[in-house]
Amino acid sequence: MKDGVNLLKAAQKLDEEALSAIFDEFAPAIYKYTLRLCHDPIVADNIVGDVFAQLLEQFAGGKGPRTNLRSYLYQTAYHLVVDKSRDNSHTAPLEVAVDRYEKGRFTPTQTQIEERVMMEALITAMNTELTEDQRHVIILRFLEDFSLKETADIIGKEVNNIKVIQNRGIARLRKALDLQMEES
Amino acid sequence: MEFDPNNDEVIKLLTTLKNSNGAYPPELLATRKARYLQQVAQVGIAAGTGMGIKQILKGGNGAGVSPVAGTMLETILVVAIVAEAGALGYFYKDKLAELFNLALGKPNVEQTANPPIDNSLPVLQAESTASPTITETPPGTPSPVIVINGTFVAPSEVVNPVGPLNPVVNTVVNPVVVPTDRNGNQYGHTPIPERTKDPNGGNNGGNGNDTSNSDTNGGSNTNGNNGNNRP
Repeated sequence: MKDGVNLLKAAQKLDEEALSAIFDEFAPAIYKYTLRLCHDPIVADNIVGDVFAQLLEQFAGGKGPRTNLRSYLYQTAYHLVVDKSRDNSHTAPLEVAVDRYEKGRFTPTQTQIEERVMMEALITAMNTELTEDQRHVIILRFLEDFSLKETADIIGKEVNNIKVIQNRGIARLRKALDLQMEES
Repeated sequence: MEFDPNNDEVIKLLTTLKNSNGAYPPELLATRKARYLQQVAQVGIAAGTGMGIKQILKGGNGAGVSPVAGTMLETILVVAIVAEAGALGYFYKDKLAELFNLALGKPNVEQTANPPIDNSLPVLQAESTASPTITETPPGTPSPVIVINGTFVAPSEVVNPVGPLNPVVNTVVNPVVVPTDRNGNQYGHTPIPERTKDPNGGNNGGNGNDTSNSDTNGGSNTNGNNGNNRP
């Protein structure tokens, strides 16, 4: 298995093995990220296809990423999701991922039930309480493990701006969860 | 980056959500990868063909064309392109000029041509006027006679004959200028005064008594200028 830099260099030369390895490594993560944004498995799958088609096109034209391939792929996916959302606004819930996560579990314990309730509350709050920017920053920072700098590059904002968006988003989530716990 | 301790619970929930299994459905993933590999093959073939052509033109790495031949081929291609461009420019020069004028905003100059001549129509002929005929002078016609100061002069010597209808013209060759009231220079026309000569020698002023010129006025000299003719 080649490391990241060599893999990228080989892919720039349109090495079939390197390109295949890149797909295997990043396609599931891009799918999950896209699914969290657009809430539609079919659309997420199509966006994954478009992301890698664009990557191939860039490499064939002698362009494309030189350093951070992961950030580049997420950035492309984000732009495609934004373009898709302009054409068609999907209101499918974010629970798609959670449903799969919860599938196959039998006889949940009390702790698991509480956790599931909290998780559903979190997902609901993410979908209803956060702005688009806040939701996106939290997905990239906490679900995709991007750094502040990478998140800023993907979204196209300053790092300080990302910090502010992130803190406000978390504060909103906490407030929403507290309220929900009090109600229950 | 450190977070507010109050937010720890939210961070923990988010981490749990991250580990949730939102995996790519295997059937979708397999189909997607197959399509992707197909695209990779197509791009690889296209890129390989392009690279091969590029390498041939560059004449590198065992290609069949030498660098000199490559340079010549390149030169021939450039010349052919220039020639083709020139020919096209010549054929479409009017359109090019029109486009150029349009781009510069110059007004269009319209060319006008004379209407075609229709030969089937009858040609109008202008009426010609009769030319003057030359008539010969009948023999026996008397020539004009010019008399100047009583002498006959041939007609050819007359400077300004009056006309053929006046057979006898009295012309003054040296006309006497009659003084008029007009002042001004009249060079050549000033009459020369006639000089009168005194028959007695002229100096009749004298000193004394001139008896010869005595008149009836009692001996006074009316002609003398300097005489002492005192009464």
